[in-house]
Amino acid sequence: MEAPADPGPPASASASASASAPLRAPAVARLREEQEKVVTNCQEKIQHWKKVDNDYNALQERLSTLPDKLSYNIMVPFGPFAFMPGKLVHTNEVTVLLGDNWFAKCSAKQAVGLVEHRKEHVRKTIDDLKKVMKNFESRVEFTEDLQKMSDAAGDIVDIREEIKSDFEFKAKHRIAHKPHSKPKTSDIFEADFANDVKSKDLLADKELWARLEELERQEELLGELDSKPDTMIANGEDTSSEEEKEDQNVNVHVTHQVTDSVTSSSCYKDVTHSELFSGQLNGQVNCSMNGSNSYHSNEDEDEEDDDDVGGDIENENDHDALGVGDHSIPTIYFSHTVEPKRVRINTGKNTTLKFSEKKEEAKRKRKNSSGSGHSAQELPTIRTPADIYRVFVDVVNGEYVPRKSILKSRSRENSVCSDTSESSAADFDDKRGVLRSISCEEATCSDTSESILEEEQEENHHKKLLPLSGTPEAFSGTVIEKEFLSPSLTPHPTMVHPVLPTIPERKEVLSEVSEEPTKRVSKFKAARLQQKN
Amino acid sequence: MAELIQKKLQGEVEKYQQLQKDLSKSMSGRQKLEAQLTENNIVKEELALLDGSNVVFKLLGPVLVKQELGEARATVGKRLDYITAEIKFYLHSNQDEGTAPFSVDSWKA
Repeated sequence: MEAPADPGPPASASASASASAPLRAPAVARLREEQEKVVTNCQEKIQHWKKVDNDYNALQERLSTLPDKLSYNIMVPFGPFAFMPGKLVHTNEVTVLLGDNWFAKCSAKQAVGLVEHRKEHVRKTIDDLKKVMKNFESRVEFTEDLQKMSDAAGDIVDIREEIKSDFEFKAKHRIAHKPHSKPKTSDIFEADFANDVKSKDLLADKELWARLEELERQEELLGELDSKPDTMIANGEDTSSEEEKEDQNVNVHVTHQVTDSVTSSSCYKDVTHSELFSGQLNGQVNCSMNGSNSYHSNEDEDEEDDDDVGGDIENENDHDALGVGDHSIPTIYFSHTVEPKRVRINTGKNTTLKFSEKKEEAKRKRKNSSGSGHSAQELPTIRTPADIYRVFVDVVNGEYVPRKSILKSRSRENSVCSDTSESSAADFDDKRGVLRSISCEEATCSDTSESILEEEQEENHHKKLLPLSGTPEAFSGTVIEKEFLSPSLTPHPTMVHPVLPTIPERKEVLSEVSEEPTKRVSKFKAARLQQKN
Repeated sequence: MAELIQKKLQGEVEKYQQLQKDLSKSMSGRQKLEAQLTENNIVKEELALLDGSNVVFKLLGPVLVKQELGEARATVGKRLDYITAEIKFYLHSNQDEGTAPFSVDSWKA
């Protein structure tokens, strides 16, 4: 009677499973071998125990029939070749081996009882073995899938993140409330990424960032849409086969290909523009959010890579680098980035953006707009989610209404997480209407909007960045950006982007005007101010 | 210089191998003990099923020695305790031996 668990093969199997080495076919094959060995082992044992069970059944039968006669005439074996006729007497007396050199003389019925007891034990052993076998069979299946994945190198992407031990956490280390609970193991995460079906955790996260990206790209692409839609596609396909594996921060510049007119719910994007940034990674993301309806035919594409440009506010945001593996499956190398401390994001109703990077961007934009009449060439550098918020600020009636950020602020003083209260919801519904009406007007005359903005600069408006009382949440699927379509369709030589150039200038004003970027304006005040304008 | 290191490495490797052997020995011993444990458990249960009318024997070499039921039960119980104690002992010694190879490894690395 042996214990059903065998430490050897499972240990090795689990060891190889938990290895963080790159996914290679031989390793996977070996893992599969080991697991299959365990499975066959279990099967053999189960066979053995079933035989034992059968034997016991036969024994029981014999015991039950034995006392029928007082004595039997039998041929008694003498040694290996000889038999002798004899009699079997005392048919009811049975000496039973209890185990460990213990014997007991009992009646046939008592013996039957003992046999029954042993059969119970055998049954238990068989059950345990079956459980183990089932377990390992499922593991084998998984390993098979893994193998297929590594062989195919098709639309499945391996996502890896290498942990650097010198990574500093500026935020507090989280303390588990329960003393021995497992910490969050989110860093090394190998996920199968086939058609967004698997790896839901990572995907959900990425979807959020993808959404932000998409909003940005919609803006840009609408300017470019007329010019060169086809080259985008071509670019995407060409560069998608590039292979790059980078762990560091990589600027993934993404341009969005819009087949429809922009809908907020379209969550599809192409990654192109390799010429803009060296080491650029390309891929394609299909994310389904809010019932998106404009799906590009990305089934043509071989790889689906999730690219995410994120910044780290509290060292928790994601930054993806897209990589296509040469010999093995395409791999995304994932690393956290540290956002420079000076960045502060609008995280709530009453906060403002303080952003020294914007100054730099403002200068850049100024140069662009003054230097060349070329439109839509320089896309904003987005390295972090913070950048997205920085870049996409709605222009409401000439004012800047930052969008509600889901990022955590470093200082935590302004952190207001996603506000789902009724009041705010009602509020921004109103605002949305206001925004739309306003932006419609803007749509008709891009020039006037620009002039308005210029006026604002000159007038040195009193406003700081108003809190995003009127803006929808980033993932609500509302279509604020729709309104910016028409202005962007008519590219203005001095306006690189409908929204972007104004922001830095605005920020310039801000920085000049006030040294109190963190002055908070209440939502109601902001509404009043807006209405004034 | 290189030779010195090599010699040291050699020594460590031997130590490591020795430790591995010891570990495997103790592992096999432990497995044996566990088998005995289960067996004795079954014997105990079966003895419990018997009543006084049955004669209990113990096999000592070629001889079946008569034993009393109560005595047999006591003996089996004592043996069980002894086996469990030995398993515990093995466990502790294993732990010590188990950690040692890793420390050697770390030195080597």
